[in-house]
Amino acid sequence: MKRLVIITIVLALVLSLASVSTFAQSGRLSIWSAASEEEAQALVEQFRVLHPNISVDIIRAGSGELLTRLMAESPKPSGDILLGIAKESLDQVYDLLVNYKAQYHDDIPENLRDTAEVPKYYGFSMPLQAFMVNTNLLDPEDYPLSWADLADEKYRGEIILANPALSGSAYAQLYMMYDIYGFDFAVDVAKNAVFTASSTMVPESVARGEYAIGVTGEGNIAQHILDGSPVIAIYPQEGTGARFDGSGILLGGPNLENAKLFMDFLTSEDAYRIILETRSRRVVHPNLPGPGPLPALDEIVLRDYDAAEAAEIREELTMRFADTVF
Amino acid sequence: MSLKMQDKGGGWLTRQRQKDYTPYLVFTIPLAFLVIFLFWPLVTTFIRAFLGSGSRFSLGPLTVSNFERFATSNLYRGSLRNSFIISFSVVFFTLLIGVPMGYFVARVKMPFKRLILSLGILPIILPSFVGAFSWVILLGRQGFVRHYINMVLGVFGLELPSIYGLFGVIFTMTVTYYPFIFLLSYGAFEAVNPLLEEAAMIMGSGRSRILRTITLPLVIPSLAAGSILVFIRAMGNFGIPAMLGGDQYVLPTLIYFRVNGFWDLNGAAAISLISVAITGGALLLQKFIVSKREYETISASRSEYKLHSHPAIRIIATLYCGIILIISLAPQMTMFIMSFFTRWGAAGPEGFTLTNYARIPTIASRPILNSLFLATTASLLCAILGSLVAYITERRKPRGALILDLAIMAPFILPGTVVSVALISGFGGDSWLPLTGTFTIILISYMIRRTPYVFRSVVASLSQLDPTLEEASMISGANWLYTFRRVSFPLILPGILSGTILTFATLLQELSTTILLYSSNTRTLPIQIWGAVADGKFGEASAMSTLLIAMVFVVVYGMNRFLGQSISSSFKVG
Repeated sequence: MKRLVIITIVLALVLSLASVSTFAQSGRLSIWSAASEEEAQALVEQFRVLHPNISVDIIRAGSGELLTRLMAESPKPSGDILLGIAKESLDQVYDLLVNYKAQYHDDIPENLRDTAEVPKYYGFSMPLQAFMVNTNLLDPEDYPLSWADLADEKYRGEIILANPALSGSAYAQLYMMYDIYGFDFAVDVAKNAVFTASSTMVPESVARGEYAIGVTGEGNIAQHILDGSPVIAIYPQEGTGARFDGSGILLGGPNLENAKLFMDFLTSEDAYRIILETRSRRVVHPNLPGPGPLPALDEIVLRDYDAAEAAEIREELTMRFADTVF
Repeated sequence: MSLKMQDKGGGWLTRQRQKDYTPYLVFTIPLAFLVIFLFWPLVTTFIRAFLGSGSRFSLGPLTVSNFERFATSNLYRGSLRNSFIISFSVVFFTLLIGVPMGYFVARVKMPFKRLILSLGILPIILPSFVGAFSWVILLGRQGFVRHYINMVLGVFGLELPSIYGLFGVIFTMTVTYYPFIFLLSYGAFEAVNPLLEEAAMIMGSGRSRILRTITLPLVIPSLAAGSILVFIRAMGNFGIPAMLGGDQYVLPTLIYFRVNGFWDLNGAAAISLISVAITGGALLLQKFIVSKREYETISASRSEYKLHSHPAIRIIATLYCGIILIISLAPQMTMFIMSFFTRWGAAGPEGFTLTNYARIPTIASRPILNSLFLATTASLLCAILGSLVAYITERRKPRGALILDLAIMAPFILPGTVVSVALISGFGGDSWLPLTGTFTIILISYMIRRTPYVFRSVVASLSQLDPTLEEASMISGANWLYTFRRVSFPLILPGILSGTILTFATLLQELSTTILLYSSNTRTLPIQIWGAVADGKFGEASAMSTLLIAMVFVVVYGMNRFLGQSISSSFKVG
């Protein structure tokens, strides 16, 4: 038994030595990413081609966790870049970001970045919310075409939505319904729906045929179409909010200069092409087309999305909604 | 008799101790650790609960506004109610299926006992977000198992309730946590002094009467200990209600929603305090039940049981254990199958492939090393800290032992998010001791969250160990350190080891603390699995989970063989 204890201790020491690594590179950069692993990796790979002497770390977590981290670690966060976070959330931590005019500033339309003269964040992609419909479960004449259709009683128990309190995109959906038809309408839709805490479960469930209809980011739908699932994307007739998510530099981060280089890269056409092609996201660069299986931007009805108001009433609206529905 | 010895010896020890300072040196380090890293997060959490909502931490005006929500908001009331319903139902159902299984394995002559005991721990080990997803595949609206169950139930005009909602949460938690009851009651049925039962039998009692009047009362303390453990786990679990709860909130999901949704640390602290209070109440209830029924079950001479060997009971026992294991390991099997496919469609797994495994070296070799390093080191440190503190509270019985006891148990109840936020804000980049992004901060969080396992296990071993042995050593002239090293330590080593194994197993799948604390150098395997699930790559996630479970199983099975006993003694909590 004693031998076992000794073996364990030796093993622990060996492992601890193995885990200590050395970094030859001079420069470093730490990216906090809410975008998927693949996207972050692909971007970093290209960035390293341009700046081979900067070694880049990626911290991957949900945007809720990343913001919690940021606020807990502030004023000296251990990361440099916040990647692919909803604009509303970026506005929430606006004071913790750095103003920086990126190299390709002029290529990015004003409505797809922070509107300040020297912006704090630039658009990353446009996560348009759309209806994901399983074509095996519904006949074409039964497809929901508008937000109003979602409240139709015939869809009772057929709709899956993410919990607006836990998911940024689900809150955006709630806000759109509230903005178009008011609070009671959102409650009517909720009566037809099942809520899940994990926003990944929405596209996954519709693709597997658990539910006929889900509301989710169009990129998720595109992925499942490319995978061969029997699903289509439907854009609501009233319009879907013209939202975007973005990236910015963290105030007080350890590698400010490298962070600026990364923002320069992130606003380049090359970077946006990577974002477009890796996970079929709709990107904000005017030279680039829509993602493969999805319609072009001019075929989709867009609605103004008042991110400022959405952020302002978020706590009140989600609490009221949760109190009424759950 | 033993009590008198202790009094006499105690007086003698007091004089001896004045000259021997080694225990104080040895005890200072763990106590300092506890003060800095355990009391600090606890105290800040307690104070925060009485500050206005938000995250400012100041000793300003205190308020109970965070608690008022439990009176005014349906959501809060509903979460509290759901947490109660779920925790009590899960305790009830785990007892219902765990106790017979423990009895069968302990008392019936049947094959594969060691395997059953080792497999029995696996349900606790699967990361709960992976387990819940597997249940969706099996019992969701398109689940293929659901289809067959409904065919059978349909004969009676019934239908299986939806997996999303309270039914799904209670079911999943029951099949996840019954091992605590199974392993503990197994240990208890094994330990009951057979002479008592034999005496009753000689006097002419029937089997059922013996079971009712002797055996069951004797195992009640262990069942109570197991129930409290299940209660705490069910009360604190986040992954299952988050995945399957649908629109039903529970306290942990509410806490998550306050912290990650609104950065309302103070509000989250208030909810945590409520859940700690409920668990504290349950602990007291358990102590009350047990203290009225403390019977001696340990004897110096162990005689063997006569195992039930009637063919009928052997068949029933084997079938029962087999069925429970198959049901509770269904998620692990699903995951294993899934790990060889690209996706799980409506018709079943599609696209056979080995790439999920082939990719592991590239995507997960560093996380695997980190996980092993962190889990091993933290388990060892927990073993040292837990045994020393257990030794202090159990043998020295200092004033405030109860507070120490409660303080070391509290992080077990506090949600991981709350513990890690307290650590980040206490030891952030600009504090006197900057620890963010290091292995150290993860080790500390693991230690304060998992030391209770070792602590409880060692307390249980120590309480069964007669202090006269140690006194004899002291009387013979050995100093404290020598006595501890040569007498106490070897005797409680099984307790330490079993607690440590459980710590190791649960740390390998830790997610909720790590996700706020990890940096790119300290990324762990569960983080990698979570990322794969979030990106919809279930094949990769399954392959990594299979690897994780295989690692834990090798350790547990090896230990079971090595120790020649079940690790059930590590579950003694409360």
